[in-house]
Amino acid sequence: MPAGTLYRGREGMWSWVAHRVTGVLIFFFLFVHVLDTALVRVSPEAYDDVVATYKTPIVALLEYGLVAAILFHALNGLRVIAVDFWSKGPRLQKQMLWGVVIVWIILMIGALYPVLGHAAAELFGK
Amino acid sequence: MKIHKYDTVIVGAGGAGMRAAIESTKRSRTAVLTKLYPTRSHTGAAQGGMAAALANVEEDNWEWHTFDTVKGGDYLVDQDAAEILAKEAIDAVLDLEKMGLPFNRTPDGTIDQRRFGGHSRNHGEAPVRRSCYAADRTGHMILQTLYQNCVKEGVEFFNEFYVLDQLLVEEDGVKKSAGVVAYELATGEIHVFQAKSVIYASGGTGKFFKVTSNAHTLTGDGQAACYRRGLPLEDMEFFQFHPTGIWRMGILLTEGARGEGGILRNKDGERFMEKYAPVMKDLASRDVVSRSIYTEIREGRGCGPAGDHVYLDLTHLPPEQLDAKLPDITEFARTYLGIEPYTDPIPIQPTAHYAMGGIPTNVEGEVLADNTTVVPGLYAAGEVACVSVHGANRLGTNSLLDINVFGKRSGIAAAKYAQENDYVELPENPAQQVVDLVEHLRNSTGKERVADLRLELQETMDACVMVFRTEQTIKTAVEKIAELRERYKNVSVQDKGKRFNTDLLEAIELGNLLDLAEVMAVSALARKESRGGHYREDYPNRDDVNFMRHTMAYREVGADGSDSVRLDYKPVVTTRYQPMERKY
Amino acid sequence: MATPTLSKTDKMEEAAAASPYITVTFRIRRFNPEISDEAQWQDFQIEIDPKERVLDGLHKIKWDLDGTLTFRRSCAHGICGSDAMRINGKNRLACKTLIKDINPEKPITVEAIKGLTVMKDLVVDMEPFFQAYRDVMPFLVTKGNEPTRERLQSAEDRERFDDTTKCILCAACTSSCPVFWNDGQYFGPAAIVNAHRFIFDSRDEAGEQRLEILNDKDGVWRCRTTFNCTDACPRGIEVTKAIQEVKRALITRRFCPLRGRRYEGPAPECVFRGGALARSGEHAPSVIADRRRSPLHAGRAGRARRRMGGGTRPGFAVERSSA
Repeated sequence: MPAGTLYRGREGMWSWVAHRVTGVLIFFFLFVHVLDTALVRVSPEAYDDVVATYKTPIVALLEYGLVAAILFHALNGLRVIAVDFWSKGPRLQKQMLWGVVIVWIILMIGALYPVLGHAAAELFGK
Repeated sequence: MKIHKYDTVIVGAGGAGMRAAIESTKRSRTAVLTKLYPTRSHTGAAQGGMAAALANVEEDNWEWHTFDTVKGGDYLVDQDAAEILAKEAIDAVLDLEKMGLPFNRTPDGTIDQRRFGGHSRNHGEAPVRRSCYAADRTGHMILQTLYQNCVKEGVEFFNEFYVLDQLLVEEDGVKKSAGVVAYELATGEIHVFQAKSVIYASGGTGKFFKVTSNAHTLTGDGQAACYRRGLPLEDMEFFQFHPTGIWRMGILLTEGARGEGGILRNKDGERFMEKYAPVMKDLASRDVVSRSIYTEIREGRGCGPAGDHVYLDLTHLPPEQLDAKLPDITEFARTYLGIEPYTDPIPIQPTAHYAMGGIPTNVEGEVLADNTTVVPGLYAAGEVACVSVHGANRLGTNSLLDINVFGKRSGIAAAKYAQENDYVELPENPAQQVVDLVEHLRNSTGKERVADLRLELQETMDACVMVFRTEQTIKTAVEKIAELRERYKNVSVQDKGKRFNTDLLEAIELGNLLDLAEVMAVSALARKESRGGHYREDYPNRDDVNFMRHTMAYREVGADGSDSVRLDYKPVVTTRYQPMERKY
Repeated sequence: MATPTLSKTDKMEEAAAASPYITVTFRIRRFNPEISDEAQWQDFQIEIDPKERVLDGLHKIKWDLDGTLTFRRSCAHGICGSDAMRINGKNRLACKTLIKDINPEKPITVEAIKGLTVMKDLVVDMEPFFQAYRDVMPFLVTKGNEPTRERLQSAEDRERFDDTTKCILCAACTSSCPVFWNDGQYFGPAAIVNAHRFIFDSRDEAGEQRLEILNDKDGVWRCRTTFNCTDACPRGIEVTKAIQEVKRALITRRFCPLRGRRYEGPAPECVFRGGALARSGEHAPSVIADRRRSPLHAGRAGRARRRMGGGTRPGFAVERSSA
């Protein structure tokens, strides 16, 4: 039977969803990454070829997304550890989430140049 | 139709029902039938506490408790029952604690006790700390603890089974209980439970009032089932109006608030209870406080734009005390009224709360067919019963006690009866009355609506048979109820289905309420005195000469099929105390 | 004798005296197996005072518009737990939710709680929920002779498990848990809360057993700290915190300061008065103050686990309920 409306959860539920989504994305990334790095065993040229295909602006954006996913997953992961092991953790979970989001935003701003700088230079010139 | 066979069947899974089940399941094959789920029972709404002369905090003893109970009941209490209540109270509380109930504790680690209305030391000298409590959730904790122990003992429950008929069969000239007939909400099926003993613990009848603390499900099913089969109902005119219910909503604010120091004030900010009860003040007996509140309102000192309520003032109590001792009621004030009890007084008015009357029993819980004859195999305990341990007015914290003491007694007695006796043959077509009723309602094309009739009944009862009654108002009620009963014959339901047909059950429950309202009004009309919760403005004094007796109401079916109420009287059992003037 | 001056109470009463009725649309998810296998939304419009409860709105609909609308309810003030439902997408008690607090200008959606089979309209099959509750041994277990009077318990010990005594078994928490929606075999927050209530009750002796029951793939480890339960609980219980404490107790096996000790007669002064002796840890059976309580033996816990067969769910009472 259909389930009706989407449950209107709050910070706890959405951070859990985000943690799972980022986790799955990182997993698939790792899968691809292990494979492409393994090409080194085939031949250095094969490896170089594949890595060359990554040097496009679109992939740069994807990399930025990857950094976002990893940073969120890591920071939220610390929050989850605090919720699990710190006696005040559950009570302060919302505040901790906001802390995670703020740190994440700051770090993402900081990551703009290192990750996207090259691609931006290519696209828009110096 | 399904037929089940059990040694003992308990109707109702509230405090009394489950306390009885815990005893009877150890001794006989028991089934508990409830129209809800056990933890939904209204015992869970009780807040204040459970009285017992444990003397953990200050000097106390059971004889003082007995006296307070008798005086609180305005001397209509059967004193032998009151003695048993007070004596067995101590074990009742300790039993619950051993079952796991998390009472609040004194610094010594023993069960803490607090003051409560009507409980005094040395026969009325001063309030005494007798009420054992768990914050303001005592009823909730009792209900949960009893259910937990039912789980532990493996009690068998039939949830959402409505008991609609009591089967009585005459054997050797004696009317005996053969079992009950129940309607299963989920499927619409009728079940017959053949049982050697039946215990009624189905609660009160508050829903025939509009402003009431009672749940929607408290429609007097047990009383109605027995009454319709010719068994009497005792003292139905005595109904308690708890002084502090939330204005217009009826939601209860425990007397414990006054026990913790809360004060009732009128629109001038005056502590008006000092006038009406100089010694106990706000902790006088509930009927005294309710009448005082209405007197203040009538005399123009009520609060608010319509002057129709007074205030419960908790603002002088430290917030920590409110949080620790009265968390639930402060939450009610915040949720339902949007006010802050730390700083704002709470508007309250008396609310219909407790039925002192009910199915008459002796102290073993055996149901009486008349003043002396017992119905073999039939028992009752809790609010549905009238032992009579509360007389004309119940003291606070005595009901949570009553359900445990008499729940246990009837559980043991019923199980013992089942061990020593055989089944009674079921009558021919045992489910016929219920099947006819259900089919009539389901298929009826009448124009009357259940909700309309019920509202008219409730408004009439509130206006005519509440705290202040007169011959005129009660007669108005009697006429109106008769009219409503006629109209009820043409009631129909919209839901014609079999599964979870709550529409149909509400119609059946209304029938119960109408029958019981009639009994109450007729009994009130005949009692030309004022006693406890029954106050007649035309007869404002207590008349011990003519009316120190219990009312017994019987259903009489005339030759033309119409039914009416026949009243009889039963003497009060007095052992120690002679009636005195009741001053607080 | 403070005369209350124009307080919130007065303003509230004035507002009540002039109370306006507003038109509210209830969008209810209907399901009647006797008519169709499909559930569908149905709109009802009623005139109601916004200070009334959602339950009052449902009653108005049932009594005035459509008698077939079916829902459970009893006490109507948040104590019995009968009327847990999803209102505007969140689990709440219909009798504790005031219409003015849930955006009455838009249609108010009302549907049955999630994760339990819908029997009709807003009524669900509660049996799996109560079965999970029964499976955690939710009753006091004591050993040895009963004391003559009450078992002693300090106020601090009483406070330790106070939060989880408040549970009314309304199922708002369990039916708000995504893990439970996905797999009804998960014990769920309510069962864990009720186990917590006993594990941390100083009088109880079966804490180990309960921990072992919850130390299961369907037990406490399924909790993903989504916090829907804590948000949904109408009694304000910190559910996730309770679950966390059970998890930590499983890891550290440290949960009850008075394990194995029972008192008869007057309490030793050091224990309950929290005196210097207690704080110094000199007297072993002191209260929570001293966290260096000796943990349960791994051996006993290990044997308990083996005894439990690594995740059995013993049933207890036989409850024959409607579905």
